[in-house]
Amino acid sequence: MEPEENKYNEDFNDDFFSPDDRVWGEIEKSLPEEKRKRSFFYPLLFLGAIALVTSTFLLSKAFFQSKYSSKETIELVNSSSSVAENKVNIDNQDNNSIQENNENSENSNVISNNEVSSLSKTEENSQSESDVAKSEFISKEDRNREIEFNTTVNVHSTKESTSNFQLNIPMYVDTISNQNEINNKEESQVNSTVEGQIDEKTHMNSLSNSLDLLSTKTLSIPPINMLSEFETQSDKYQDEILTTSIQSVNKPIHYGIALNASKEFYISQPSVDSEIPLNELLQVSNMQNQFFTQLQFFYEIQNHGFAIGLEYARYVYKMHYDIHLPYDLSSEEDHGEIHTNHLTHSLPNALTTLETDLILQRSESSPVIHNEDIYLTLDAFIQYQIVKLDFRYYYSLPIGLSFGAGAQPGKIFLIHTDNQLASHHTYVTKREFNANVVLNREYLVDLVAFVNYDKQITPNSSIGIGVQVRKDVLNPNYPLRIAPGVQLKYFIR
Amino acid sequence: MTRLKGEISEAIKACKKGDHSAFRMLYDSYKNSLFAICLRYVSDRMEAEDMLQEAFILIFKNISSYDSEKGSFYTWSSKIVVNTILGKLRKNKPLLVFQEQVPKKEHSSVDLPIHDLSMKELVQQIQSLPEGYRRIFNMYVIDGMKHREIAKEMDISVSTSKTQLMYAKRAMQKKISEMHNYSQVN
Repeated sequence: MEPEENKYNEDFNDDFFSPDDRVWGEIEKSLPEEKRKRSFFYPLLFLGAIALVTSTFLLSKAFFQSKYSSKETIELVNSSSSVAENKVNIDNQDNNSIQENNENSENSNVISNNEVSSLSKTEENSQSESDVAKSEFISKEDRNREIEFNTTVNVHSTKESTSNFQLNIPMYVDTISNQNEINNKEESQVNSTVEGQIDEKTHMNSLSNSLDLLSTKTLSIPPINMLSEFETQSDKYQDEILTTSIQSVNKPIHYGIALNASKEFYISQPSVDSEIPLNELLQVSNMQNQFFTQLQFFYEIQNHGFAIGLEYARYVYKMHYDIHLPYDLSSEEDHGEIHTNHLTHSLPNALTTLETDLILQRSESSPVIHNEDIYLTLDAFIQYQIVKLDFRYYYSLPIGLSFGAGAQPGKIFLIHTDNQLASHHTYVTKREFNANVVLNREYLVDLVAFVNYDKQITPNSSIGIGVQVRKDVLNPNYPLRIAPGVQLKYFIR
Repeated sequence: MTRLKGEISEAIKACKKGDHSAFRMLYDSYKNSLFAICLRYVSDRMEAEDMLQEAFILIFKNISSYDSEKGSFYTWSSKIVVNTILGKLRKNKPLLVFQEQVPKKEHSSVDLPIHDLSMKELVQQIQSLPEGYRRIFNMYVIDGMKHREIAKEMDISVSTSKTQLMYAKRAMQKKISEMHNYSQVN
């Protein structure tokens, strides 16, 4: 190390200039591996990558194989046929199947009158280890719907003998016509699997239980001959799905338009980022409290509401800058009797930046010294408007109070600006001044929380008062704003 | 830690070969002086340490490009430190931009009684300046940049740079005089 550097370094022999030990720890972690170790790194990385790709491939293959191995399904389909079909197929390993199809069975209004009308059992001396029983139920009903069951039941017997079951299961399913809400809900497919190893005694029970499960599902559908009662006394039925469906149909839904007028108050004036050069020149800034209007379209379901709308507001922002300039004689332009100095600045404020272009002048004989302080004042006036989209959710209490929150993205438009600069120096005066106002940002996003109290004045309208609290999330220098206002609502029932 | 020039040269050669102990030796030799640069620009100690760490990682990563014929290791590494700091500040605060200057002692001579201060006092006084002033002051007074360069790097006008420096100097003068008054009273 050079002597000068040694001396320079000695100046820093103080704990104040000593960084924490963790700094070296972090640096050491990022140091390149020493060369002999590095030779193992890339082959290991390559092997690891191959292992990763291979294991991903094998796992994905195993996953898809297991996903599509299940075969047994029970399907429940609604349609508009008038025929109920019941199909029961029982197949054994030797393809000795007994299939019974009951077609064109009588239409009935009896709920799930399931019965096993015939059951026969045959024993064979076969060495097969499993029996497969498949049953397929197709039920069709003549009141705008059809219910079809396709059931496969695999039964594996551990005994040496094989059991064949012959099932005859007439299915009567009653439906509700003219209840589109409910029909839609029941237009579903139910898939289930019944599979397992059972002995001969439980063989029969398993099949019966499976059929009971099916009949239970069918019971949830009310019969046709109860329709009139169902429509008038929905609470009589205990089935939760149906009851909920009926209630949701009867829930009050409101659409409407709301008009809001509020005045906004700044809790404190927005500040300028302290890191921006010349921010200290801004002595006074005042964003004047302004009225704004909101037009919203809302949609209410019971106590919950959603609204989308537009907001329009006009603002006035006034600023006063105190400027002290070091007068630079070396940058003067000589025009004979008059000497000029061309200065440009970027003067910040909370909303815009004033790009100033200033020409100062002095007479050749005036006693101004190099870097002498020139005191100037600048008063700026900006009028602008903000158009915002308004999205909000609210919850209403029965007493007329509602509260909620939302977001308001918007755009700022400059309308008018005016700037007045004055020199307070005896000899140095303003010759020419221009200021170009540039918006610091064109967009804003306000988060809003609000409370309203509404009073109904006619069956279709209400009037209310409320308070909104807003904060611009894109600019941390902007303070909270509070906006009390009134609101008119018109409902379209 | 004071080391001979030969030791530093050997350590740099060893670093180029990936010797970790040599990296440690260089770090110990220059950590304080380079950390002082970070402290001048960033008042928060933790943030300054992060910048030092980032700068040292860059120094070690690019050490093969260091040519002792072109200048001392300190000059080269301090350039990287300043560049790292300004680059990071520019990323965080868009007004600030990269600069290429190497610290030049001769530019320290300004109309401020900073020569009466110890290095620690000087850094502490600079740290106490508002951030905008601090950067202009560091760039112009300590790192010796010209207004034209500062204006270009910070994307401001020359007038703004001059005005800002005037306010920064005033603030610094005020702080130094307050410090002297305080020490005289005590």
